[in-house]
Amino acid sequence: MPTNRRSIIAWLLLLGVGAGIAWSLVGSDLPKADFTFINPSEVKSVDPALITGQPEGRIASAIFEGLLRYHPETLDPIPGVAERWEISDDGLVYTFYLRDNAKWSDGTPLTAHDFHYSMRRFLDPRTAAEYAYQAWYLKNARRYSQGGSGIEPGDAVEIELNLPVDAVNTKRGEVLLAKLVRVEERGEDERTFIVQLGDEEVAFCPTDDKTAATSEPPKDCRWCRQVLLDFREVGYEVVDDRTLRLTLEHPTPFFLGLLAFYPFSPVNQACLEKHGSPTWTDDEHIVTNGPYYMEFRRIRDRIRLKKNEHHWDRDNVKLDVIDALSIESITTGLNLFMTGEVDWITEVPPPAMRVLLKEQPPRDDLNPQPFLSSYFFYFNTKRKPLDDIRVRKALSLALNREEITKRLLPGGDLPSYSLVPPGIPGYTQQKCAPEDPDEARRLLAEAGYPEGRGFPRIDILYNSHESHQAIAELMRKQWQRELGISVRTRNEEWASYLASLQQQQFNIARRGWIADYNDPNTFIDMFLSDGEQNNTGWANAEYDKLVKGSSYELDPEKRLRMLEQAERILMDELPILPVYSYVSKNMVKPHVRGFYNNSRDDHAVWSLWIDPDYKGPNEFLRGRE
Amino acid sequence: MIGFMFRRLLWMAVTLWVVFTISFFLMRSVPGGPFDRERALEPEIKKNIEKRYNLDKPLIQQYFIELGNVCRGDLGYSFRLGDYTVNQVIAEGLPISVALGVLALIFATSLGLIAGVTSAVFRGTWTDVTLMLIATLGIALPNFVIAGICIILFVFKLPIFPAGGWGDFNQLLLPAFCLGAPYAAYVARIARTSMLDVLSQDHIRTARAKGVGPVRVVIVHALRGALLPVVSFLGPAVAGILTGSLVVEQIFAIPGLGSHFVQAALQRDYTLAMGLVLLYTVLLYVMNWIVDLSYAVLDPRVELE
Amino acid sequence: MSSDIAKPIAAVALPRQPTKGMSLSQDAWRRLRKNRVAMLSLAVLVIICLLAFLTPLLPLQAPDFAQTELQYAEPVASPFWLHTFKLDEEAIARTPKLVEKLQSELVTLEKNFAAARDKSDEEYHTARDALRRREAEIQDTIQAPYRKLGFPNLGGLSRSLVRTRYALFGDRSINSLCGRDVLGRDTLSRLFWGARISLLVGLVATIVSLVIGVTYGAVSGYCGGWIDDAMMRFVDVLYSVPFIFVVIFLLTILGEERIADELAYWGIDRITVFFLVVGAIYWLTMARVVRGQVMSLKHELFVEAARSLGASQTRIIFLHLMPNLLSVVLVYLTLTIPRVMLFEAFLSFLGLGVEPPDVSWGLLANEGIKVITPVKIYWWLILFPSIALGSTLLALNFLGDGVRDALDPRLRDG
Repeated sequence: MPTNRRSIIAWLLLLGVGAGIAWSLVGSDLPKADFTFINPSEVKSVDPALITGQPEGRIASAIFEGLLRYHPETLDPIPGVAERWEISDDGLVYTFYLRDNAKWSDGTPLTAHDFHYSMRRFLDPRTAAEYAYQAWYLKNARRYSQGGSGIEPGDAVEIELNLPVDAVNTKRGEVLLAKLVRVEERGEDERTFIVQLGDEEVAFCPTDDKTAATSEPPKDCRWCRQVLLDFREVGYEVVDDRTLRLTLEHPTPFFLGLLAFYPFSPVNQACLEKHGSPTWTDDEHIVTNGPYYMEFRRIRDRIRLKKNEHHWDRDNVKLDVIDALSIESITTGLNLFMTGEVDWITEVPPPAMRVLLKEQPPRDDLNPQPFLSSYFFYFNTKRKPLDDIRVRKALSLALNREEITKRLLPGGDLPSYSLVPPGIPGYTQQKCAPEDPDEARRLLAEAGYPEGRGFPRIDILYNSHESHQAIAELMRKQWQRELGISVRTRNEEWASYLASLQQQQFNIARRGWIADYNDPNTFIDMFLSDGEQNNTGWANAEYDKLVKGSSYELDPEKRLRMLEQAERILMDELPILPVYSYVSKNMVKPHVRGFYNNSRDDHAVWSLWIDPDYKGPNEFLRGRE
Repeated sequence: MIGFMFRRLLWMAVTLWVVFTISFFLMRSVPGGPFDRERALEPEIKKNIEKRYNLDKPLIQQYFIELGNVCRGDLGYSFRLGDYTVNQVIAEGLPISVALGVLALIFATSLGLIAGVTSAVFRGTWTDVTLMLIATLGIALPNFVIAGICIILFVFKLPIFPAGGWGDFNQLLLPAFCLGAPYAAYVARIARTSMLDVLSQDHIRTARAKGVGPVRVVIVHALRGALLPVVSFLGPAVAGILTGSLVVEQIFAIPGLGSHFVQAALQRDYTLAMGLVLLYTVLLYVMNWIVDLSYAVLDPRVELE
Repeated sequence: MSSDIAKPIAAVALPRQPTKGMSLSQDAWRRLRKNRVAMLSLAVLVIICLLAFLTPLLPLQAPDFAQTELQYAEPVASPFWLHTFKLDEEAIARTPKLVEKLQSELVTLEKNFAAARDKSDEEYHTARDALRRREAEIQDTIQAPYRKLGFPNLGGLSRSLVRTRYALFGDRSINSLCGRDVLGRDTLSRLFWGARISLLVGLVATIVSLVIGVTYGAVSGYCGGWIDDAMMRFVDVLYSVPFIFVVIFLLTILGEERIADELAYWGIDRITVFFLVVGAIYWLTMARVVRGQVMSLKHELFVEAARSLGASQTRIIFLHLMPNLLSVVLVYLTLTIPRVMLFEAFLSFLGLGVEPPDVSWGLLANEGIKVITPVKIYWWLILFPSIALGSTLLALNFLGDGVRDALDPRLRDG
């Protein structure tokens, strides 16, 4: 029976090969990192100009550093790349003096020119930075971002010319400086810019590089990429290699705090122009300036950060290797924390939280504390029936927030009747009316839906997450119980959920917002009629006037009163539905030191260290009753 | 042989084309373009972007351009993972999923064969009944339930295995087991049936009559015949393991193609999702091909047409 | 080529071509009856189906009734009866009058809508919205007393069953023998209501694939020649397409708001989409097998027809085709229904399953798995759905084994 043996041998060989493949593909055992935490979703990008989320922010603030950075406990702005600064008496001019020993992760020196390059790129409409509006406090920055729509005849403009199609996509075309004479409409979405270049008038037509390379421009016109306000008009200038001068539109009390925010990080021009976007962020190419650099990145697995030996503060950075695991399921995250694989997680599944908080003696790795964050729902005021304020009010009055927080949020989140969360000194939150089912029914009947009959089956949109689902379900049941209406729930993954918000493809959509800086403005300016985050379609001229006016108000008391008035309008008209304000749900191992609960739940990793023998309560547990 | 391979390649190309066409038109049937969904852009910028991605051309033209790209291996950029091309994502995830799948297949066949053969040899006893009951349970429960139970038993109650993640070999074992379990069950049942069939045949009786020991009878004489139906089951088993990996990779937080695909589909990351579907088609084809080949090796009576 | 590779699988799983017609079924039935495990499974399945059908009649709590103060309650056995089921009979009595009034308004609106077809876009939309709103009002009026109690949308038969239940049992309903979930909803009743959906999906999707497969295979086999060749080649290609992925793709696209809203209006909700889409995956094997059967039958039939004297071919085909196909169909049913039900559970895991307030076993099992944490396991949320799903699928598998054995004694333990 030789065939028998042959085939059995063949079979065994196949199995052996298979096992070998499996073994080899698993890859070498990774040495364990000094500190491991879980970032609850895969980061969209590590380019600081292109991101807005908290998970992305954690990575960006580890590998990049702006002029300033945040104190780990108080979140006050402290020196970063800038070692000192001066503010003019009128609050409009900020001068920053950069360190001598500031370097990039490849050893090259970091200068004011790098910041200048990065800010221009950040504001460039072609970059399409989502957070660009945060920089619009700089003089003329907003006009720069608006590209062709931000310039008027008489302005100094810059004209960026086209590059060949195969050019690196981060390179700027040749820039000509001129003065705008007039703008002409050329057809749908197309404009011609007539400028005074030197002595003559030249017409420029913006188009893409491909068309510029292959076809002739319209008569008497020259192709270009875009026409923008001359960047020299923007209040961001290089005085010398080590000095930057920033000029603001108006005095902005929270501006220093804003500069520590990750979108204001510098990016390395040489790196970008060599590799193009997004390739420059590959772990083998990327050049950064923060306390850590990105050693490698594996999608949906981890980002490994290693200490940057060129960083000016390297002696105080104690952790050598940090792993940021990207694990979506918070239950799996808790599992890993409990088995000791992970030192810090940012969320706890509610059923587990309930059990963990009841433990006696209290656990040494859990300490929920309130922070400046608000959980609310957008109403799409452009759609029926939500365009009727009575319907919106009815929905708010019929909602039992106490039930939601008590039953579904055992961490201690607080029911909220306002947009701005509690905890900003000197500011009084403005609240909407508390629960009143009878009034809700009356309003709904008045709006034309007696006993909820005929009410359209609108849906509640939320991003996929265990706790959001339960909350949306309970809201559905509460409205059915009190108002007799039937709504549906719908969930989408984070990226497509954001897109649905932008596109206003929703009826009611969940939103969570963490303060970007400790001032009510960070919440309130969301709902300006042209606000980036205002996906409700709601606009109120009085509101706009109050908010914009507040940014010119020098008296801090008066300013806060104006903001309160604005919030009052918001709560009277209810384009949003406040539900609760957050409590942080971090779990941190007792051997992690230097981790503080703070007002924005913003924890930079560079200030942490591990003390394996430490037994006492660590900094994380401060503030517990 | 060459003719066989050539014909197989041709059919694979046809299938890939069908899959590509279906996916392309499904993707484009979604109202609104992919960049409609980002923030409101300056009109010139929006036009620039549209031109760059050929979105201003008629649908048919876009179809052929993309077809050309795919044929050249250019699967484009992932919409949602801004920094990555589809090829990069595949390069990262493929070895992981293959390792997981291969290990799962090994579990499935070896555990299944052992269980099935043992069952057949000890037919009618409690061993037989218990093994077959466990096997049927493996088929009857959804694999995420099996995974959940395994986690409760082997991660929490008896902390043998880590809860998930990727990097060490022992993080691979439990997921591979959960992935292979339903197929081990199928293999066990098939192996048992065919083993019983073979054991009742003449040449086995002859061997026994000649005084060949029972173990030798089973392994040397009977096993090969019993293997054939198992091998023919492997084709569908691989397909099942590929889809099962979608669940298992999510539960155990394994960064393989399965989780990438689920995330891509749910996030409407169409370029990535389509690239992965094409890849899965190729994988299935290759696996079926290997199965056919091993079939030929095992049974010289089968001709490869 | 590929069809030949399918043969070994077919050989293991399906019976050989039986030669006679009618007597086979009686023979098979006799053999099946002797198989105790299979008969037990059959009985269990029949009972489950019956209970699922009669669920609105059973004195259970309502499946969508949230009582958050009782969230995550453990299973309790005493007191056995709760007295919380209060059906608003007055409201139900008032309904016909209200509906009549609304219906009359509906007629006018329909006329307006028809007239508006030729008018401007805006008028068209206004008329359409008014019409839809009135239709929604009628639905809401009818469903209101039931929704209030925590039932999903009920059809006419279900509503009368609920009323009968109220007449029989009054305000009594069985306590939470299987515990409660995060919103305090009763797991026992959700299991029963989930059975309806899960079984329905399993059955209907399988039947859809059956119909498609049988038609396709019969046509292909009967036509023969190049038509048959082309049709089977098409099946071969489709066989290699990883349909599961395309289905996931498809379901996410159909979940897009604009599309989903439009479909919802036409009554095509997620479940109906399931039926069609899932059914479309599983018809391929059926088509192949039926074609094989038809081809060999055709051979015989032509021989017979040549011998007979003008007897109608169609009648012969029907008289002989049906019973032979029946055996194949039965085996196929018992193989595919479990796979479809597992697929539905799989889709629920991905979040593409049925939407609340509907509930299915897959959804329930999923909810149970999602709350497994190292510190707390709500065992009742996993155990009971798993038992329900597992035992049904076990029964189906054993029955399938039994049917196969009964139809082809050659495959039995020799």
